[in-house]
Amino acid sequence: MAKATRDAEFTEFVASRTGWLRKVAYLLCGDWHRADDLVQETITKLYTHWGRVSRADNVDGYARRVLVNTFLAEQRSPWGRLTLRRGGDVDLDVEAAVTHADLEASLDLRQALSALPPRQRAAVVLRYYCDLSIEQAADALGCSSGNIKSQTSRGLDTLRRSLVLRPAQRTQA
Amino acid sequence: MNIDVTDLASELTALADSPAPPSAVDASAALRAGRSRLMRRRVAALATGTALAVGAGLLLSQLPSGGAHQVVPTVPASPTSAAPSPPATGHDPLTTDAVFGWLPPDVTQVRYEMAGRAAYAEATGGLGGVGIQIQLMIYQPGQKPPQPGSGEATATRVDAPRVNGQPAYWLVRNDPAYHHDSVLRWQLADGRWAELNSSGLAQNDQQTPPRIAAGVTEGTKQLALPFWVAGMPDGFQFASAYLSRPVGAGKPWTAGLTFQVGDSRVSVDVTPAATAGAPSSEASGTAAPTALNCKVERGVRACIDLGAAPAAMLDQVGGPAGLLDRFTLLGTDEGSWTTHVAN
Repeated sequence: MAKATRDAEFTEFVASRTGWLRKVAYLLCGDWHRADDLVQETITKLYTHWGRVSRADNVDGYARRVLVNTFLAEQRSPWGRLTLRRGGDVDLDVEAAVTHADLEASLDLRQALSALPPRQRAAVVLRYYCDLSIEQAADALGCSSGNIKSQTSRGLDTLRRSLVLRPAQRTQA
Repeated sequence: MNIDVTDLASELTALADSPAPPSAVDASAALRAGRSRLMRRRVAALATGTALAVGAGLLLSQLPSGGAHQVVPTVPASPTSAAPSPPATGHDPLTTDAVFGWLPPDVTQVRYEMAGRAAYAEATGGLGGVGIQIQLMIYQPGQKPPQPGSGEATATRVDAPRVNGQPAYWLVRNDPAYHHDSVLRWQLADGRWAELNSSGLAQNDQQTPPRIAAGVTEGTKQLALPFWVAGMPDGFQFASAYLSRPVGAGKPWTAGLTFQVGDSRVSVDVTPAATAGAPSSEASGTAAPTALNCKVERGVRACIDLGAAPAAMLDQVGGPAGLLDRFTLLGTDEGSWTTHVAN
């Protein structure tokens, strides 16, 4: 750690990883504002353990695990599921203003992801967005490799069913 | 569509890269919240067995000259109807035993918090970036601070210059991650020990903490709050109370109560209604202010923060509206605030 302070190092970590954490959080929860809340809570938790976190072999992995666990904990809370903390309408307005060729497909995938149970969603995101191995994903979710396999398999099956039924397939765009 | 792994990975990447609103993630807020959580854990751990009394209070405005921030700005009174007075039997869940005197010029906010019998005072501030955080607590008579090797993280005791003629020492953590933190302990005139945790000061700053310590003044005081509450069911126990006040041009005041209901907690945070957004307890973020979770009376807004608690915990008070109905808001004129808070 040399002369760098804990706070400065933490701040530097947050500055360099916020974009990545937001993206993972967005895939988990499907809402940018909730994603910000998840990341905010995640980095606060990281700070309270920063002395240990900063010495970890894989700080990014530690942060990802805290983020996923924070997401899952929120999902267990009825209030967390019901409350759009900062107003989802704003989010929709932002996205409505965007015209992008892949937007329809992205929204379809977002809807399909949101239909997955939280642990299946987390397993899919960890495996196919974060590109984690089964063992790494199991470590992040705090479960067995077998559990990751089954969660991922069921998640993929559901995604396939959801996406094949969508009215306008991306390949036709 | 027969989604395969390659498709899914690329579609997930496209989704994650889709246009997003500006980030609201705030590293400085995480630092402040994280420090407060660490302090609460510390206070809670120390309070086990023997209670702590801590404080800083509204006496700020009564301190002698010489303190750079002893004057708390007044808030204009709201031109609204007078609130009904609380019963004179109500107790104050927020009491302090000492006050800050001199504080560094960067300090913009002083917060007093009491959880059960444990409490602390906290001064924060700093321009952008990380900022500083100074936390004060005072041990109960006869209680000695834990020494290195007795549960503290690896640390070393180093003698410090006497504070107001009383013994003092630094607690120097051996972890380089804490080099910008300092812990100064000194004995008050009445024999109790006081502790000042500072972070965000310049590394090896051995001048500022002793100066802050020298300005601390003992004096038990109940803090008036901008609301009173009545009619809470037995299952709702007062867990904590706080009051955060500006120093100089700091943010507007915020006050609140937290109730413990079984294993869950619910907070009600109060701030001037003119303040943008909802009042915020740092613990769990804040819901957007809505008619469901907030109310405004006499220029003051009260909002419920359930954090991760189940909404069903409010059933026995009639939901969010029932909880807010039990709060009488007293306006922004501090002269109308009360110490008969909990009835």
